[in-house]
Amino acid sequence: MAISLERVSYVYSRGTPFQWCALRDVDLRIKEGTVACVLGGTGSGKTTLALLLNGILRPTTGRVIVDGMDTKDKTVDIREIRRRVGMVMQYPEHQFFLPTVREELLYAARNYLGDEIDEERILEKICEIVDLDRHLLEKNPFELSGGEKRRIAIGSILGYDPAYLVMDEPTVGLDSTGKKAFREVLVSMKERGKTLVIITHDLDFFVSLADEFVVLKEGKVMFSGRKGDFIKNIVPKLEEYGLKSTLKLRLMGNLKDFSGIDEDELIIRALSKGLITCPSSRE
Amino acid sequence: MKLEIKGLKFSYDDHIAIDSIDASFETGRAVGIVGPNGSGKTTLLKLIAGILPASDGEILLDGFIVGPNELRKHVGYVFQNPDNQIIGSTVLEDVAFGLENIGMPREKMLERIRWALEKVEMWELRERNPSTLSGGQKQRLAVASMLAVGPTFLALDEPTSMLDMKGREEVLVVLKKLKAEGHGIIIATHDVYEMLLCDEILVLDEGKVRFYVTLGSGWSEELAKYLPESFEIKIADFCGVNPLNLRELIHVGDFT
Repeated sequence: MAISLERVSYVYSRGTPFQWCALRDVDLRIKEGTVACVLGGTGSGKTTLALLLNGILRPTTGRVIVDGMDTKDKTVDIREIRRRVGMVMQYPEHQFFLPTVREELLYAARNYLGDEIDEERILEKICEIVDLDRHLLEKNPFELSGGEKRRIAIGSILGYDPAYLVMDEPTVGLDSTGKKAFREVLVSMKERGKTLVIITHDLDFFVSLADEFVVLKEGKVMFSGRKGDFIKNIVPKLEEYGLKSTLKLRLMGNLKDFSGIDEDELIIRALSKGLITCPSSRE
Repeated sequence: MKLEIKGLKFSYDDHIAIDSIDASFETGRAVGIVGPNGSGKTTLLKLIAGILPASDGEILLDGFIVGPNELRKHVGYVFQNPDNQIIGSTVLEDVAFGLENIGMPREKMLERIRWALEKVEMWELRERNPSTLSGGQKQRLAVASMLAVGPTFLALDEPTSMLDMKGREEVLVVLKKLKAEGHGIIIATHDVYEMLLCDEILVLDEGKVRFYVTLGSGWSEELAKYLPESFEIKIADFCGVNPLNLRELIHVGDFT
């Protein structure tokens, strides 16, 4: 089971003066159970790639295959593809259209799982996972704060439990409590064998969770491979791809620690090797 | 110039978003507004920028009470997502839009646009269509369009959270420069590098001020709970350095 992209190109507004080729000849395979982070500067094609994965967009040329189903194949029920591949968009407000948070959270689950679902149980589970106060359920999603909207967008795909989750910048606007809770959600999904495709700039947050990295530039795949390879070979030259590395990633590369799970350990080793020095102590 | 808020309140229907806040902001200084999601950061910024009218309380500029109209002349607002405020079909036109709105004579406009775009290092890109700009460039354009109309204070809502590391750095460099040139900066943030720019941190929770401290002092375990999750802060904590003393910390972090 996997999502495969075979020589995929995507052209927006084809045949008009605004024609724009967002992705070129992309070959990529995302195996079931992996956590893949997609990186790239503005205009590199990240969001286009995400939208291709569950058939919101279909490739101009080439094929996108989800568990053996071609998103372009008219005999395939596209709902089956979308039930397997959940999507959290970059701007949560782009995916809201119902009058209450409750309706919004249940919409996809009702669609994909039918009317027989235990709505209260699903809501309870979602609220617990994304740390959402139940009194918000009757509110209009557009009235909520940025971080709350983000949690609802994530929660709405948890209701029907898709095998693949594609998320476009999911940590933007989350506070530290939200981020911690979200990390737990991701870890438990990973443990349950979910496949996560995450478009992000937040390298420090995702590096411990990630198995693979994909780097895009101007619609082309510049790198796609395992985390260790990424940290060793790509992190030192991220600037070439219009990106910047972080202190944590540089330390990981320097210390050949490719898990990044134990930050304390990383700090101790960096201090003992003199890669960072302790400034004067707390006042 | 000094901008003060006294007993400021704001309610959305039955929900009190801002509950009796006192604070003051000065030119040449930056204040970071930190707090959990839904704590009222964006609402407070919008009140300060005169976008929302306060339900109660006062806002004073150099000691005189001002209303939203007067405030809007002195405080410019920058959204988290630059796409929310860019409307021109070229960079030049986007800056011109605000100037047209304040009725600036055409012959003066170009000079003013140039001044604003040079401040954010975007003059070279003046003929570009904003949709072809990078995230960092778009956010700098949003800052320029706001600067052009001449505000003293800038209110920014997580201005770099949508940007990649490179775009972030570009915007932070611009904000740092504007502060040095005497603008007052008020920034709602979850980001360590944005906090680094600030002289004071105001922690909001449920619409109330929980902490209001100068950077580098006033550390407490309780306050630490409100700081963003970040590797850099963890290092400071580990070394026993006050994590609010961010400047010292980042200096340490920038090894090569």
